[in-house]
Amino acid sequence: MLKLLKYTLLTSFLLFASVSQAQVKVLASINKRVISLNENVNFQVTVEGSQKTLMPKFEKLTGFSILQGPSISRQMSFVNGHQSKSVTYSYILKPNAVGSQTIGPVTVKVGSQKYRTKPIQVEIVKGNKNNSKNDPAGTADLSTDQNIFLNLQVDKSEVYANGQISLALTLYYKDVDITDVTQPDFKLKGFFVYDDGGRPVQQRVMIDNMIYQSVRFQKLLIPLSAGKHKIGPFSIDVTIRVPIRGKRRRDPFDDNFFGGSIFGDFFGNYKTKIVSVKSNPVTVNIRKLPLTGKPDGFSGAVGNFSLNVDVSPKTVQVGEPVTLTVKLSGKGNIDNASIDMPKDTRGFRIYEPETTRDSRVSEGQLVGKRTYKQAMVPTSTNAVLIPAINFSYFNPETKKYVSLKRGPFKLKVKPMPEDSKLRITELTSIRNNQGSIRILNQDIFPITTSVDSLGSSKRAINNPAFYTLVIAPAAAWIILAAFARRRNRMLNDTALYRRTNASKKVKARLKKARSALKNDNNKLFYLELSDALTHFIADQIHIPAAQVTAITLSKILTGYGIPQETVEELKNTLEYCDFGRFAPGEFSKVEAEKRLSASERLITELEKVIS
Amino acid sequence: MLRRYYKPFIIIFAVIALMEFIVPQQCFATDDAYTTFVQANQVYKGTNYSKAISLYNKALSLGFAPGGLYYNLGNAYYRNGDLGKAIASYLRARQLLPRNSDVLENLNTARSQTIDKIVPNEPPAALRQFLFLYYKFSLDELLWMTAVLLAAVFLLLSIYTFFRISPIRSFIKITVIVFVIIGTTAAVKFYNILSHSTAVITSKEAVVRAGPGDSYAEIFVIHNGTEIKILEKKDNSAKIKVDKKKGWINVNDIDII
Repeated sequence: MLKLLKYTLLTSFLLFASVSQAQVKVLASINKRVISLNENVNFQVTVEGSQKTLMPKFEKLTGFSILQGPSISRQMSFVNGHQSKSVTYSYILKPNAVGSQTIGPVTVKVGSQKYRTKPIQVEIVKGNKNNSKNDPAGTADLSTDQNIFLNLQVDKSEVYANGQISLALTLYYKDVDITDVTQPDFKLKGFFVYDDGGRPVQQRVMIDNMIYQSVRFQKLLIPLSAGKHKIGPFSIDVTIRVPIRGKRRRDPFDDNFFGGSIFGDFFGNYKTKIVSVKSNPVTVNIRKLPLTGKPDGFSGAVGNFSLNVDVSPKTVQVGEPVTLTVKLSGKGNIDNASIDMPKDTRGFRIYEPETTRDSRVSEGQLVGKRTYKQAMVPTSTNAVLIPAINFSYFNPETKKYVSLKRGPFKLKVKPMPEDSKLRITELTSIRNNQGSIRILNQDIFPITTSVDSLGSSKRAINNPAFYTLVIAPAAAWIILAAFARRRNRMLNDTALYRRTNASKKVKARLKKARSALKNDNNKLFYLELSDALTHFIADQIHIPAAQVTAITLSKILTGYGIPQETVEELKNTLEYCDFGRFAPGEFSKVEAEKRLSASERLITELEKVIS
Repeated sequence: MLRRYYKPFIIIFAVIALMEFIVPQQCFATDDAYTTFVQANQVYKGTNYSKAISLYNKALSLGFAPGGLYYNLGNAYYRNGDLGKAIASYLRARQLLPRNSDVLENLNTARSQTIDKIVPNEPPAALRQFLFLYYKFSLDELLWMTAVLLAAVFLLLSIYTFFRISPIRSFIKITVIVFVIIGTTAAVKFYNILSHSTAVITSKEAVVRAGPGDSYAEIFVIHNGTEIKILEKKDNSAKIKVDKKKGWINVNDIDII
């Protein structure tokens, strides 16, 4: 992604600056080629290379009147020690009549010389060119191909397979505020795509007397197979800042409805828009490499290469290494180029070559270097010849195969001196004895003093942590298992569940009854007390609570060994509650209090007897 | 859902915490014993080996008994010319540090200098590799492994009680198998060490007789440093087996590991 906005100004300065001082250039430009009668055209005269100029003079200006100008802007900059100057005269011209009109030519006196610009044709049409009333955001301008477009170019339309094609994708724009540009996706089938290195090139260019900003993306393509290949079209997403034209809306509802206006206020009434720009496609013809004259051992290298072979030292003793260095460099796809190094040469022991490879794009061309370094050790004085190194490539410029040959190389191999021979035999005799170590002296290893290698003094069977580790998880499991079993029984055995929870429930009910009594809520008191007793009995012997009444009580409770007077008292209490509930009479708080505490006593008694 | 289960977990944690509290924290060897050990090392380096031996033994009696101490003691005996005691010490060191190469090397060096040249009755290397758990790990290491595995089994069982997920079941199975293997190894090793069935001749020359007591006939003589197997003990005599020969020996002539 690019922060184009930042660079736009800078590059425009630099590009003007790059024009050498001695060369004076005068250019005229406009910002629109077709305008309507109620629009204006921006006309600029730029003098590059000097600032000693007089005001430009229109030789001819029919159909226009000067609305404003000229406004003069002078620019001066130093780049790499070179000073560059320029002056720009800007006019705003208003068309007076419909039709094709000509601006200029304009003459400018620079120093003592007079310069004349080319006349520029402008088409003036009737009415509104853009129906701006229907387009308050002013976006219609942007979608037109004139202000922003993408151009795809290749340097050659015909190339040999494995050759090189330089590809340039250029985005041109003017009168557009670009904040962001996506990198195009250069995936191509049938091509190796090399990065051209560096960032996209930004320039100011003049097309059709109009000045455009341009951003150029460059790639280097290596076609892999022959045939007609279509490259592109590519597309780039461009983020554009668009000023919101027209009346500013004050209505807050309107603001929210259309959205973005809040931000528009912050950013000076702009909104961003993403425009997808598509380039033209390009067709290239990839030719097969000619079959005639194809040398043996051609590895597919296309380009222009040079081969350098070096042998050093040229004079050696038997057993000493000789280094064979092969350097291949040049323009072209060096990744495809390979050299057959000597492998099986008589009289030499040969080691695997060390290779380095380096390829990069320089000035639109793929250049590279490949180095092989091979150690060769002569094993006898007969080894005097290192075979020649061959390399062949296809030169697309001359359309011919080229074969390069370096060598063979002659060596001067001296015999080995006597004492080094001895050394070798000694070494071999020692080697042969391998496998049995001659023991010189037998002794023990020294004592240990470091705490780390002492080991623990504490035994596991004396360590409480050990027993904890054995017992605790087992105990934990037993507790958990017991708990789980009980829970399961509760879930499956309703009677047990009811019995276990009966006392908890009855306590809650009695508490409610007590609070009802306190609040003088007689009805609730009777109800809670009666419920407490009946539910408790029902839970304990596992029957529906509705079955427990004053009448059925004695029948139900037979066989549980409950004393007669307890049953009687229970029955009385239940009857008392029923009377209270259904035949309201005089309410005695003292009596109620008595009944309540009696019930508590009865419940404890029942609990003891039943369970 | 978990809230229903929090109760038993609290109980368990309480129990564990309580156990840590109740079980008396046995102290590590006193500083005194360690100082004695360090002192012994210095004396050893000053080549006063008999003093070093007595200091090492003092540290042992004070409760400081790491494998390294037995190794140093063995070195001291070796330097002092007491081959049998040296081998006995190295064997004790090996029980505690079975993978320490210095211990094994010194034991071999000492063994190679014995007079009888009887190869100790040890299984071949391949079998030792196969039973690596037995031969490459000390009793303590095996016991700790067993305990950890047992804990893992119960932990997994506890989890399984509440979350009946089938992967836990297979985990439990695997853990139980490993536990049984290591536990058995630990048990065998424990038994072998407790049975004290190995001994080393510590006197210069020991007479092996046909029965317990000096009145029995002499069968053969073995020398300092020879490792023997003890079959039974009676009073002051022990029935031994060495190199397929059996007989009775005076316990004063041997050091039982």
